[in-house]
Amino acid sequence: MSKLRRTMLYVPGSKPSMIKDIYIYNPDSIMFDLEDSVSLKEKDSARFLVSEALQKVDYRGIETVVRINGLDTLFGMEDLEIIVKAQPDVIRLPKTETAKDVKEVEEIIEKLEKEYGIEVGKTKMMAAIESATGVMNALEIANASDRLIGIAIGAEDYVTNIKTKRTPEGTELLFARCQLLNAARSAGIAALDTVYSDVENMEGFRNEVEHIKGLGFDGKSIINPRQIDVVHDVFTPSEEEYEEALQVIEAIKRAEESGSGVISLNGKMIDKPIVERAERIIELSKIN
Amino acid sequence: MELLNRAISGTMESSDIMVEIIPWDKDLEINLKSDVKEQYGKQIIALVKAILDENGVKKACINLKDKGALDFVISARVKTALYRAARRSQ
Repeated sequence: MSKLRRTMLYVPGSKPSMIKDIYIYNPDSIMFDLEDSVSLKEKDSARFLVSEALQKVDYRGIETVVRINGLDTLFGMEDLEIIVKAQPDVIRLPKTETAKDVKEVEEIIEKLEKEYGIEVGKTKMMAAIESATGVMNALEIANASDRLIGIAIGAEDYVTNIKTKRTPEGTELLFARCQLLNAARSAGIAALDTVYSDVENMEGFRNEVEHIKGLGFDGKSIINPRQIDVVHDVFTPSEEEYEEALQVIEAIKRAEESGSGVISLNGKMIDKPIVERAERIIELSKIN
Repeated sequence: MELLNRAISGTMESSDIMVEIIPWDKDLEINLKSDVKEQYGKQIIALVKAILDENGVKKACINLKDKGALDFVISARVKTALYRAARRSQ
């Protein structure tokens, strides 16, 4: 089964008190941010802080992701030089608009891996898409590099770009989410949803998580540890789903043993996609 | 590494350390203020010295105000202060 990425917890790269023990909350991934949550004056210190943390703190096997500043800023290149050496699992690119954006960063990462004696290809990448151009190019972005483990939508910049704002229903994001999701699935990588900023509104948050799970997303970026349990709960199959999945697998076994070509369960035909779904539900249930 | 400016990094928040580097032409001097100086003072100063050695810094005054920073934070703050002290424009 592919790696679980239900929750990707943001931590500002400039906050030692948060960086030192963020693993205790047990998200699926930790995302150290060097971009929007870090002031211009502290870009250098955040870079050193995250680099040292990656090398000296035991994050207990939790996937480590670093969101760098874009290469079109004064900080992106130095971020890569220092962070690649510290060997996070994944480098996250902000504001990706084209496949070229991904390839440019990939080339630099490869050069740095060679320079630092790191196995070429070890550093994975993910791309955040945060504009109309990025959304329209989602498929070429998703296929731009073998290093890509996923693409994510960054909603705040995106809705500003398309001249609207976020609503509880998320209608304004539906097209972008579906476009990204299909691009990710076509490329065989993960699709990650955007943050939900109102940490006090847990009901609204749960609704959004249920919505994006229904669309097919693998998980969501989150900004507060309080949000982790809700996401993991929504992404955990219910007992009914688990029981049904077990029945599907049992029916398959029985059909194979009896040499029957057609498989049915409670009067419904069972075919390959249903079996695949059942297998995934059982795997997810075991993990949870 | 050549130190060109006085530089500061870090904060006075819990789990952090404030590092001030002042270039001068006398031997290295490290001053530490910390609530845990008795328990960890020697360790903190040894760590700071090691980073200064790695960067060939022999003449400077280093003032440290520790608020319970872990080793990785101390390393990061000293490296940031050195980076800032070695830059031409602040």
